[in-house]
Amino acid sequence: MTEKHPVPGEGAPQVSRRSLLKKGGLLGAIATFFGAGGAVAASNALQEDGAVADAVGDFFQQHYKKMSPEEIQAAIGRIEREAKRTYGADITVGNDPPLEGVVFGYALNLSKCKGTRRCVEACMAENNQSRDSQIQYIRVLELEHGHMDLNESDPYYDEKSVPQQGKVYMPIQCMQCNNPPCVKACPVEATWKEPDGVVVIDYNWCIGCRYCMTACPYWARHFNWTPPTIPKEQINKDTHYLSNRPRMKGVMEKCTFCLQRSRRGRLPACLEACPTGARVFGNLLDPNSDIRYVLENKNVFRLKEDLGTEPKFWYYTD
Amino acid sequence: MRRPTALPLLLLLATLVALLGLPSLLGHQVAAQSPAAPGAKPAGKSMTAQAAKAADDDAKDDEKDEDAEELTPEQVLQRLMARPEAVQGRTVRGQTIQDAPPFTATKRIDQLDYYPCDDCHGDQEPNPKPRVLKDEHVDLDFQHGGGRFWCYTCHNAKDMNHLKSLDGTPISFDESYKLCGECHFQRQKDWYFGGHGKRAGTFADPRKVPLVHSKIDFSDREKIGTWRGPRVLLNCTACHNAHSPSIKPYEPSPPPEVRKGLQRFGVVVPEPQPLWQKLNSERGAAQ
Repeated sequence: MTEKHPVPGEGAPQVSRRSLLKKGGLLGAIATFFGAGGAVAASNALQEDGAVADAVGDFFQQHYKKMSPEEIQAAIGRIEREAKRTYGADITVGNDPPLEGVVFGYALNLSKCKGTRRCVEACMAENNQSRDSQIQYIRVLELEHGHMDLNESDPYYDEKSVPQQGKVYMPIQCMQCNNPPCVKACPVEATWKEPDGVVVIDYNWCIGCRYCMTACPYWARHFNWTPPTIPKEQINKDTHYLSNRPRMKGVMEKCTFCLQRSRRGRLPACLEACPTGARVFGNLLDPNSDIRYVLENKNVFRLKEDLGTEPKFWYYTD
Repeated sequence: MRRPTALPLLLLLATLVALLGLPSLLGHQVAAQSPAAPGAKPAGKSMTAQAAKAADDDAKDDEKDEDAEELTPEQVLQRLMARPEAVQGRTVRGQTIQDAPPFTATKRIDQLDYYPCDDCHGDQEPNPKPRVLKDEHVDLDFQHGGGRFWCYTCHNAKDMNHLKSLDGTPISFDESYKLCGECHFQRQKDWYFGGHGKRAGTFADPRKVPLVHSKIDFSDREKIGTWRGPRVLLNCTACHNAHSPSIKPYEPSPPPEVRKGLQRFGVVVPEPQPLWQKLNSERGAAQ
């Protein structure tokens, strides 16, 4: 299997557990033979870019909500240095707090969606998603016209031109549920709902148990099975601690309505990239917002509403 | 079962209507005969009069005929066309487009290659005859209206630098949404309130979103759209070609990998080979 599906980002040959243990034991023996001097020299070489200090800092890092502002700044510094080491990119990690009196909502016009997948592409670029893994926050389902059975939908359609005759398209992403089952499933409270309604993850606190993945009825959560691979020039340097900062192997990630953008008043990347204007984003608490107009004046529905997850993502047709 | 009880009731109703309805009908006749501003008369009133007339039809056949004779064809037309107010789409809160939050629409004129149009059209006589254009504007695709329109449906023949509304009012190219909304008023209402179209953003001109996905440039983060603050809406003509407005097909961006352990719906996957056979065949292929 490993030969047929090479794991991206891991060019080193696969080693069995046993041989690794053997080598580790050997290394330990060598270390004791050559004494502390060699170890110090090795750690000095690593410490030149602060990798060891950062690893130690990461290890003792607290939960995001329990950190003081200074500790968060220190954590952000570590993340930025780590990104420099891994990708060679000078990113800035923001920590914008939720806006007062704002709860984000999203609406998608199924009559307008033509299945171009531009949203997927923009999302990957904006949110620093691994280019060759299967992580894509948005899945565009292709359905037979008049059918709403998602089991018979096809997210892998690869026609040369869309829309196809007799097909409709339905993008699915994180619904930012008001009653999120993923949050309840997390055993370490690494994921929670922010005051602006967005469900976020503290990637450093996540233990990678993937309970939230199974709890989510929308297939909106994705797991980093491998270290993410992003070409250096394609890294989005404008990031947020809770959103699109570079992730590591073994943690969950998900759509955050582009917190790094939306908390600064900007529109999510998927909306900006949509060539047909099918997407509407705004503040649910503002009676004059676009989203409120859609919710009040269009025939809207929410996906799997009967589950009681209270999504803040509406579909409509007109 | 019902008939014996219904019959006397109906009779009673008929006499009541005959007693009460007669004066009101006569009053209506007086109003109809007076020719003073019949167009201004609300259509609702004549409708109620007609309904009342229909109710006691059998009672007064002779008077009904008199009423019909009084109306000239002009009066009939004026009655039909008189409206209490202009037809306006309203939101569920009763708002019209005048109540929409303030906005600015993206400019159009600076994107027009041939503007000002009067440079060429200034000294030309407009030709209202529909024909195939051979010398100029040959690249235009006239799908809009399915052949029922000609240039001067929307363009102002008297002033080619402007469009014109259906009643002849000049409309700037920058405000084409006012013209489009004359027919597409539902879409116009949605557009004013944010339910249709896009806010200006990274792709100021969505028609320039490349059809080939690999050519998309997401690096331009200067022209940003906002969900709060001043609304800058893309004009109708930013997305739609005014002469052929339907959105043309796109080449989709590449699909995701099929998840390991899953297969595409409807794709039949052959039974997995037993491990020994698989190893044997792989060994054979290697040799």
